[in-house]
Amino acid sequence: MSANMISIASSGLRAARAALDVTSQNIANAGTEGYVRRSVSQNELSASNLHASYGEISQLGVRVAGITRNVSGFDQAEVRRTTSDATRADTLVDGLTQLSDTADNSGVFTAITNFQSALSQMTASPANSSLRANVVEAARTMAQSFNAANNGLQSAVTGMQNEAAAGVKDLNDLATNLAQVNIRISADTDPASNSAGLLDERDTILQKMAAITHINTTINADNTVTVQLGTGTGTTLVDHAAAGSLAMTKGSDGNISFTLADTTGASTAITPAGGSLAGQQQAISAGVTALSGLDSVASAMMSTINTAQGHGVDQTGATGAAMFTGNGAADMTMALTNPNQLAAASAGSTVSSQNGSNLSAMISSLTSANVSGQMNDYLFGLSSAVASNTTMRDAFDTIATNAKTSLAAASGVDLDTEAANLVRYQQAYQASSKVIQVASTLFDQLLNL
Amino acid sequence: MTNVSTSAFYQNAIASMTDLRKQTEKLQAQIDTGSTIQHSRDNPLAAAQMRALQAADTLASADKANTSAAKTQLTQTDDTLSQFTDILSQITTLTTQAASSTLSDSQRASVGQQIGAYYDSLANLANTKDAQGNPLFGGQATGNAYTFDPTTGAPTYNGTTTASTLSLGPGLSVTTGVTGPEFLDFQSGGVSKNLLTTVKTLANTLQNPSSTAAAVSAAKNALDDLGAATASVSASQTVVGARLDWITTTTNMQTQTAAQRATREADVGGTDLAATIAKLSQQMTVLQAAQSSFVKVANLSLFSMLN
Repeated sequence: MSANMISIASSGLRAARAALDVTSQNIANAGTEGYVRRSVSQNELSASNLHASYGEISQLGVRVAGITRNVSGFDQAEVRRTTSDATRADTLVDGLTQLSDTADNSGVFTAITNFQSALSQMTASPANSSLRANVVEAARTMAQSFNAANNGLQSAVTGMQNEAAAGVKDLNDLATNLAQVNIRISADTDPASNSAGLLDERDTILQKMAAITHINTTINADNTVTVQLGTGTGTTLVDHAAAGSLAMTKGSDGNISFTLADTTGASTAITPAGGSLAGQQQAISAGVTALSGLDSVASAMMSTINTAQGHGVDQTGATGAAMFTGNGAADMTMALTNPNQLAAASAGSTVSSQNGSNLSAMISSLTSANVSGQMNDYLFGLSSAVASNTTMRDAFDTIATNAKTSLAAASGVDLDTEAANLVRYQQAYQASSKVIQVASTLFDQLLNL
Repeated sequence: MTNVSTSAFYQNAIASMTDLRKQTEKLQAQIDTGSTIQHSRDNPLAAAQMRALQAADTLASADKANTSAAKTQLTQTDDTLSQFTDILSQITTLTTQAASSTLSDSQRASVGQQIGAYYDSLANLANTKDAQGNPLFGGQATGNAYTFDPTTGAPTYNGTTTASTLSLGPGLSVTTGVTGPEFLDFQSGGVSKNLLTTVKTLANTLQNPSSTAAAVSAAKNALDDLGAATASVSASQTVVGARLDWITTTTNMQTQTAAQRATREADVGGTDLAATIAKLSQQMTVLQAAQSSFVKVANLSLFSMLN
């Protein structure tokens, strides 16, 4: 009997020690990213109804059945899905913000207004050389601010393209790593081994992938994972040991597109539904539209002014030359070199004429073309895109935070709980030791009879 | 399940404090700049309205400059026309004397000389330059408004038929002067005459009359012409005065519109200081509470209780 007690107690000691080990591991990894709280699951060892006579119960103690990872696959999938949405919205808002701020700060709107104001002031004395010089400088500043706005937008788009390229590279690296992890997971058949660590690694990689693009995941029976990109069934990026690779293509207009060479080597076009890649793709498309929008404002300004110039004569009596050259915001250039070239006078006026009727016509055609209104609308469009997407981003962020919180509540380490467990398992260990001591006393009592 | 993991507790605390801090800084920036709109994206619609209002401000400053230029031009015109009437009244007085048969021929000749001197003044006044160095009475021409025949003194007008018109804002404009022919040419006895020619002819006739009777009758006839000329100059002066009044009205309108725009700008994008400062101190109280409660809760650990 006492031999039984000792073996039961020693199994209890082993179980308590295993639980203490796991608690220590949890405490040590309280701050580790992707670490899932473990707990020990225990089974009673009894042999009733086995080779025993009636009424006799064979009790053999406790057994550590395994280490449980306290995580729900649903919670993790939710975190991945909501992270993809939130990252997409966040990246898009970042990109749009850059575009809107760049267009704002370039000062194009102010430059247009100042140019109009300079033209108005020149009507006071159309032949006055300082008023003319003022118009020429205002026109030059305006052309340069169009150039600056174009450069700013262009570099914002280029920056986003580079970020997307880096995201694609990260995704491919993660896919390769995940394939390696898959190999190790499927090779790991020993229940006592650290399979929980491998699964943590697997889930961390999936979490990182989800931040880059929307992924469909299937956890297979052997705990390996299959990852697919795209909508519907999707195209396979990772399956067991095989990893495909994503490639990014830049179009001539600057828009980006993606193709996935899947695990079999076949290529499929992919439109990311979430993640930073989707955000960048959408923001770049907005940037390309913004660039062409700026071009059309610049063209409207150039054609209005150049046409008006052509209707009048300058201070030498010659027909007005085009004030601006270029095809758009990028190459808009102030072509007049001398203030005398401003064609303020109506056609047929004499040299050095004081006539300002063509100048008035120029101002009124600028007012009716409403270039400054076009620019105002353009800036409004860019900034309201940021505002509306920010509202959406905030909603996605809240959803993603909730999903993360509920995952953390289930799978994260809470130090207070671990402290309580530490005391609990210490007591269990002490109790089992006490049982051994009691068994030993009982045995001694028998010997001393 | 409200139990949150330790790392999630720290992350949540940091996130919410960062958020509070951002809001506080935003309020502070609003107070700093006096504007609720730091970027267009803060409030796209208000930002678009602000841009339109500020553009109107800039264009209004050009209108204001034009108004002041027009005022200068018209005031100078008014002053110069007054000089014309002054001289005309002198000439009229002299002509009245010359029309009297009590004057001797030599006295009449010296009157003619004085009138000749006044003619020179009138001719110079007709070629007055404005602040820009352009002829005041030449319309949109450059150079001199009139050239005079060296022997007969007959004036030739070189200017344009109309004076230039200046825009003073949307839908508002003013003609900034009068051309020479508008006040120097007049109708007398159904005939179109020119003031300068009339005065020059009179001066010449009085100095070298064919007979005393001819001189007296020339002076008598000239009196009618001078009366008509004075009326013509006065009429132009009235027109210029009305335009100056119009400029005063326009200036008042511009001031009122600018005030309305300023009010609108304050409404659309200005910071309500009292409300924002109150909000800021509320926000700071919340932030301080969040920080101190974070420190207290973070110190609550079962480990610190276990010995």
